[in-house]
Amino acid sequence: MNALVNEVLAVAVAEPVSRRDALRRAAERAGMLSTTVR
Amino acid sequence: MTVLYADAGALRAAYGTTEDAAAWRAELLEGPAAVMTSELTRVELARPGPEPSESAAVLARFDLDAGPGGALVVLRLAPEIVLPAAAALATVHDLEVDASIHLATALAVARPLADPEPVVFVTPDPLRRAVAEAVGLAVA
Repeated sequence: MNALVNEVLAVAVAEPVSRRDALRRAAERAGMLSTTVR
Repeated sequence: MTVLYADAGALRAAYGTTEDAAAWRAELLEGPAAVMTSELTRVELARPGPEPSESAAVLARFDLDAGPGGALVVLRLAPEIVLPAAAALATVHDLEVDASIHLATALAVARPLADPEPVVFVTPDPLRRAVAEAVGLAVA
């Protein structure tokens, strides 16, 4: 249980970065991430 | 989690040296929000201002923020999607070409990527803010 709580807390703390990274990955998958500016 | 779309004016303000630059930086580059923009922004930021060395510094900072681990997610111009949407906006609203392209990118590219979260259009330009609201984007 502690491990699960720690994992949830880790995700919550990392949220700002992970959301940005998730968007970047989604853009890349959709072929919408700039290849001229990186 | 807020998802923002910043036009070049907003990012120029964030990279600038004016009194309110810190507030723009805090919102766009140092806060928790995920921030998207178009690769068109780099072209606009490349335009020399009154102080050419300042323009070079702005571009260098933008490139850093657009890179891996940076604050910005930079979207393709994607002409096959963006240009028809921009043309549709331009037929209804009195917009400069760059404004049409940014708004079209926010609507047709950024919004589907952020779905189901809304995209907040960030610009210092009152006309762009008004049009963004009129087409259903949140504004800041």
